[in-house]
Amino acid sequence: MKVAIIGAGVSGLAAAITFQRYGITPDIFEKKCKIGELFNHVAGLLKVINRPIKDPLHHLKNVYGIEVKPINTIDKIVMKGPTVTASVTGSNLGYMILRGQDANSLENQLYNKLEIPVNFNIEADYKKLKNDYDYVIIATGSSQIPKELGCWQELVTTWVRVANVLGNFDTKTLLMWINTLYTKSGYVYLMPYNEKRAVLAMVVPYISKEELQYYWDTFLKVEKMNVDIVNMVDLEHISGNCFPHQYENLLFVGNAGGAIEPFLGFGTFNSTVSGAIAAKSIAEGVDFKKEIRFLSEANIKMLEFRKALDLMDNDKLDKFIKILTFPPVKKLVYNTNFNAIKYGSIFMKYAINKMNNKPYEHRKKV
Amino acid sequence: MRVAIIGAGVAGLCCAYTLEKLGVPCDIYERKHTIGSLYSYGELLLQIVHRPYKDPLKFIAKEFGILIEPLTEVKKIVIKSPKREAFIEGKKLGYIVKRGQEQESIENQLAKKINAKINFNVNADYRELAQSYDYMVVATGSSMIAKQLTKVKNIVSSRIKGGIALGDFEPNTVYLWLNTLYARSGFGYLVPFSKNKASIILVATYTQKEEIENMWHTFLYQEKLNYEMIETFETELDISITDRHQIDNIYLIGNAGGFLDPFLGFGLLNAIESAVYSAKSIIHGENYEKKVKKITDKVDKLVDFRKMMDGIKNEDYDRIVKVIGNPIIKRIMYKTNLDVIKYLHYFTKYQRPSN
Repeated sequence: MKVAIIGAGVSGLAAAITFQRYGITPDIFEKKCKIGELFNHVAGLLKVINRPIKDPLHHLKNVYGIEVKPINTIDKIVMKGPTVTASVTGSNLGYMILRGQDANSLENQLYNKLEIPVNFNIEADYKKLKNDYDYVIIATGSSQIPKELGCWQELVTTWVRVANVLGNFDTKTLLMWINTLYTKSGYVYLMPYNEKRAVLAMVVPYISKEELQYYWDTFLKVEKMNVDIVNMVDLEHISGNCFPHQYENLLFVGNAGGAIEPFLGFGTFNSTVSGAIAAKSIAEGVDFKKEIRFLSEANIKMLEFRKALDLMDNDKLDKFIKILTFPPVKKLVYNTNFNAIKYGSIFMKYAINKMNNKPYEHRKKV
Repeated sequence: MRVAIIGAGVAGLCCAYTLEKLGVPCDIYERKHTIGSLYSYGELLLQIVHRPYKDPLKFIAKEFGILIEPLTEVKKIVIKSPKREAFIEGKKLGYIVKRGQEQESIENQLAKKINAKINFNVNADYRELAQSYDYMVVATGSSMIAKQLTKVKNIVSSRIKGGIALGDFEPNTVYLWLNTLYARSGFGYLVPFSKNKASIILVATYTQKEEIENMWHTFLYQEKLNYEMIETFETELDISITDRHQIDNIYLIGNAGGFLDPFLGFGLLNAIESAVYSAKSIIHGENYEKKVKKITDKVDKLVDFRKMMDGIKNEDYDRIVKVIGNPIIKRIMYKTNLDVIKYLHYFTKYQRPSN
């Protein structure tokens, strides 16, 4: 069987490793000259997002045989709303995973498991490969190809500013800020690499690149952030739904397969899993579309949260944080394996209806 | 004697290397978590800019004992203005040096030579270090600290956008584009890494963050550079000159000391030179200002070139490229070791920019 993989990012490498286990040698094409994203950052793997899976890293290891080492566990999440600050503590709420060029980054961890060579500096044309190979896995990290083939529905576009900052940080704490003043319906998060260095990222939906600077400045000012910024990069993140996930013999995985969820923009876990599933389906001869369906379903649920967040003003954000960290709710959401996303999305649907029907009620009378 | 260096870039590492060679250990503080520029690009070390030295790399090796492996030699330079094109061929026009994270990058080459521990992720306060150390070397790559200590004059600020292109390239040919349409008084250039990879960079002077994207696309479109681009990056570069380079026990080297060439923005040789001078001055107690006068004289001349270039129009570019293409001029400029910068400098003094 002749198989090609376009892109040696997280999902492409996960697919390649899985093929390797099945004794299939794919041809891997990578446009860049090296493995790994250019700028380092820390990706969060929150357990609550991936329910009913109990532990995303155990799941990767036990189900797909891919072992990933995190740089730390998340033991505390601090949520800072416009006026409310609340925190959730618990042992192991999720993991922090290094992305980028370093030796222990996720990409390099996967690459080290791979014995098949990667063809670097090759801009592969999927139309050509389609005819030459039995299967082509599209792991390009962009929605370009599924868009061309009419398999793409855009959900949310955001601009993300990722900065590496120096300061004093608690290595097991994830900090989050939400305030419509500077992130619209997005958010800012801070995740540490170590005691001295952290990634500070701002995710703002529905804006253009030029506006990002304004929101960034406002955030630093309002939150009185006194951090030392080492370097910065602006990226466009497109969350979308890929349907169907397979077009003839082309299989879409990773960001090309809609792995970025529309609520908070997490995608590392979904990328890894989708790559592994694609390879597994090809090797075992099962229907990839069926196997990957959960991804679209999860995205649709996440979209309800996104829609709700889009409708919230600062008062509602405060209330939302209060509800989330109200002890019984907190315990249910974070400390049990309750599928918060599934049931939450039903609740959100109801809440959105309410908000939509009474659009002005939440505003205070002057 | 205790010496601290802020910044583990080219200048900082060269300074550490020279200090170690002369038997003085030092502490290095670096803000980033790694050595080297985060994006890779090709830097040019053109012989013509560094005359009277015949060969800049040999000069560094012989005078300072710092061996640097270039990526390749430059054997052909193609200069393009809006309407004209000229090329220069020769054996030793200069070198292409790799910058970035790779093993062959100049930063990593230098880092391998030193034993000193580099403290990463530290934003060192130069005032504190200046008190706790006997000597402090500032190699931060920006004029921020110099501005707090002495008079700093801003010469030119520019925005840079670049990327790595995939395609077919001649490995020893460098391209230079001059066009006010997309570069203002800056320029675009292409430096090949190998047969199928090259670094393309646009240096646009006096440009806002919002404009650069547009100018970059105009540049690629106008010059028909429709290659597959990977790893694009964007950055800004302010070139300034400082009044003094040593304040008490604080030494300013590299870009932090305003040694960047304000004409084209290449500062590798100057950074290395100033780093070595600072190390030698610290150890032998020599006058640093006196030693760097050689570099600042050169920089001052290039400041005049920059001023001339800022008033230039596309027709002037065409005229200049026509002159460069003239065989006699070409011969004088590139086949001899005439210090072109020095003599052209006299010429620029009489030449008023055409407004």
